[in-house]
Amino acid sequence: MPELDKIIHSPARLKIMAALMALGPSDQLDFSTLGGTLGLTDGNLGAHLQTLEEAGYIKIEKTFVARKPRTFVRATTRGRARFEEHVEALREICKV
Amino acid sequence: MNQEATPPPSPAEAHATLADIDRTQAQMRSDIAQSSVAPNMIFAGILWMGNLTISQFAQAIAQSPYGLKYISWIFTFGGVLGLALFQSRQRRLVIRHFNWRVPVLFLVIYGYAAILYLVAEPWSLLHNLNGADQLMMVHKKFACVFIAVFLGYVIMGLWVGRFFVWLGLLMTALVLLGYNFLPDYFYLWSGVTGGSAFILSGVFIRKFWK
Repeated sequence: MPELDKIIHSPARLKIMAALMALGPSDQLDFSTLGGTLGLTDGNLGAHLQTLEEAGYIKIEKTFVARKPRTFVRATTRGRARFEEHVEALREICKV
Repeated sequence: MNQEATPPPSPAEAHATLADIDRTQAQMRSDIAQSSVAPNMIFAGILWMGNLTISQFAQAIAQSPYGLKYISWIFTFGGVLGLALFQSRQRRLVIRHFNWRVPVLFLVIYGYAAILYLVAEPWSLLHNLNGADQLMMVHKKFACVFIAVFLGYVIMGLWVGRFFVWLGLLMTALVLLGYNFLPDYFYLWSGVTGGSAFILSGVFIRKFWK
C-alpha cells in the first residue's frame, strides 16, 4: 500500500518535486527558472530545497556558467521513487 | 522520516492535489520550451528563409547548378554555425543528461541518407543533362530534402501535438506545389514557406504550448 510522504506533502515542496519530475531522470534545472515557474521567492525556495536535500530527495549543484555562479537542482532516484509513491497514495485516496 | 503520520487528505483534496501536480508539470515543460526551443525555431526559420532567398537570387550569378550548389553549401554551413553560436549564447535553463540515442538517431538517419544517395547516384544523371534539366535535377534534390524535413514535422507531431502534423502536411503540399508549378521561383517559394513554418512553430510554442 503506497504511503503519503510527509516531506513532499507540503504544497510548495510537492510543486518543486512535480516540476523536477517533469524533466529527465538526470536533468538539472536552473534555480531561478524553478522559482519563476512556481512563483516562489529565492528565500522560500531555498528553504524548501534545503529540506528536500536533507531528506535525500534532491541534489543541489552550484557551478559557474560563463564565469557566473549558477545553481542547478535535480531530483534523486530516491526522491523520484518517493514522489511516485506519494502520487500513487493520492490516487488510492481518490478511489475511496 | 516519511513514515511519520500525516493526516490523510480527503478524496476531493487528493484529486485537487493531483490536478495541481499536472498543472505544475505542464507549466514547467511549457516554460522550458518557450524559453529554449521557441527562439531556436524562430532563428532557424529566419536562417532557412534567408538562405533560400539568397539562393534564388544567386542562381543568376552561379552560372550553373554546380555553382549554385556551392553557394548553397556555404550558406547552409554558415546557418548551422550561426545557429550553434545563437544557442551557445542563450542562458541554459536545464542541463540535460547526455542521451546517446539522440546522436545515434542522427547518425542512422544521415548514414542511411548517404547510402541511398550513393546507390541512386544522382550526379551521374546530372552529367548527361542539359542546363535546364540539370537545374530541374537540383530542384528535385532540394524538394526531397524539404519533404524529408516536413516528414520530421509530421512524425514529431504524433508525439508533441496535432499542430505539427497539420503544419508538416501543409508544408509538404506547398513544397510539391512550388516544385511542380513554380520552378523558376522554387528557392524563394521554399524559403518563404519553409522559413515561415519554423517561425510559426516557434511562435506556437511560445504562445500556446501547454
